[in-house]
Amino acid sequence: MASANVKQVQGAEFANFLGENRLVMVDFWANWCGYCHALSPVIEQLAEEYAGKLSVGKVDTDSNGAIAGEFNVMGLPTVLLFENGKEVDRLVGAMPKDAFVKMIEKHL
Amino acid sequence: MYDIAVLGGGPAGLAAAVSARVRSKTVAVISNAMTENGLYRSKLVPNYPGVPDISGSALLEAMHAQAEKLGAGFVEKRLLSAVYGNGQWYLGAEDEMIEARALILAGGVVRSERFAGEEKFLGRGVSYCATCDGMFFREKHVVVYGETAAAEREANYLREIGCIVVYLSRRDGKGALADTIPFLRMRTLEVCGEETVQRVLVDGETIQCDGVFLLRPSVAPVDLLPGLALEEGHIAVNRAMETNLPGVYAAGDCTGKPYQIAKAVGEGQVAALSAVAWLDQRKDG
Ligand SMILES: Cc1cc2nc3c(=O)[nH]c(=O)nc-3n(C[C@H](O)[C@H](O)[C@H](O)COP(=O)(O)OP(=O)(O)OC[C@H]3O[C@@H](n4cnc5c(N)ncnc54)[C@H](O)[C@@H]3O)c2cc1C
Repeated sequence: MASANVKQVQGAEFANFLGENRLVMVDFWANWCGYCHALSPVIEQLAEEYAGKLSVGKVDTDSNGAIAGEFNVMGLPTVLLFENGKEVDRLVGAMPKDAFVKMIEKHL
Repeated sequence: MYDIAVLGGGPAGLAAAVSARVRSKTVAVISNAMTENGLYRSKLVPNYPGVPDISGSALLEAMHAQAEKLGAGFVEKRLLSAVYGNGQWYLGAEDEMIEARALILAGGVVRSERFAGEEKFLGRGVSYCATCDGMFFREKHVVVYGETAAAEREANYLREIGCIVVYLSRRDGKGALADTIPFLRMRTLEVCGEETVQRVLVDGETIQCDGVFLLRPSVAPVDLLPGLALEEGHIAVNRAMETNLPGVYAAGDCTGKPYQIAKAVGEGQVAALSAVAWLDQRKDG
């Protein structure tokens, strides 16, 4: 579940990843989550369309429970948007692409 | 991917599934268990033509068996979300994702209800699905609200994976609930906390908890599909059972009175035939 524009982020890399760009979007997912698989292509499209302006990563919550815990992620999928390393927005559950576009555009 | 997904396994949804199969479309019916349908408890249905002495359960079972025999697929889960993208519907039924080109809404009468704090804490302790989000609450205190045997089973599941569960219901009796789970009758519920859920108020009494599972048997159509047009509280349709959303049809009690089986069955058929015609016109069929 990774592509050229979407980075799988693990454990200690997470803090650095948040510094990769002014805007960073992180998709929290797990292999057993049906919604997450349906969302995956949408996340990839967004990463491509906003390449340069937005860094996009994915966190597998099964192997990164601590990161999920730190950001109060308690349901999947949850997508967090960070600006300068701080959470500024989040979307929970299955959402149409428009909802993500709206969230990103608000902070561009 | 299915040609048609049907929400609701009552008379309207089952009639739609039968008609769709007769027209050789693939179809999946997403619904709660038939035994949870109010009609299932009826001892006698006196006014459905052709079967004068039939009970509600026998009628539902016969309709279900007919649809199944014709090849309809059944997903016995709660439909929790519907998202349109890439020319198709992604339908989230608890932990399962069903993909379909057209959608028929036949969920019966469902009232929209939100508890105080529910929206604010969604994904921050509030969840609609135990099998989806339970793992985030192992060793933690959770409150489960439900009205059905399926909800009782989900509460048992949470207990089994290590959550400390209290079960709330407006219904009497513990049903299938495990003996180790305390049961509380409730009228009102409020979800409270700061960043995340910290407690609930049940009829004004505080219960400390980290998670709240709200396992309502159904979701109101407008909550499922924002943008769906209503008319006096029911889904607005024309004679072809088309809603205002392309490729989305509705049938049965959800479109309005009379709340009757024969009307539901007729509308289910019309909805299916309209969906079939719409699918056949699309280039990607
Ligand atoms: C006790 C009783 C006796 C009745 N007697 C008669 C009678 O004699 N004659 C008559 O004509 N009518 C009778 N009715 C009315 C009749 O049952 C309804 O008009 C008919 O069932 C409507 O069919 P429907 O398919 O539109 O909806 P329903 O039968 O309500 O079926 C909808 C189904 O969809 C499910 N559902 C909804 N949302 C979701 C979701 N998000 N996820 C999963 N599942 C979902 C519901 O749980 C339900 O099982 C009776 C009703 C009751 C309760």
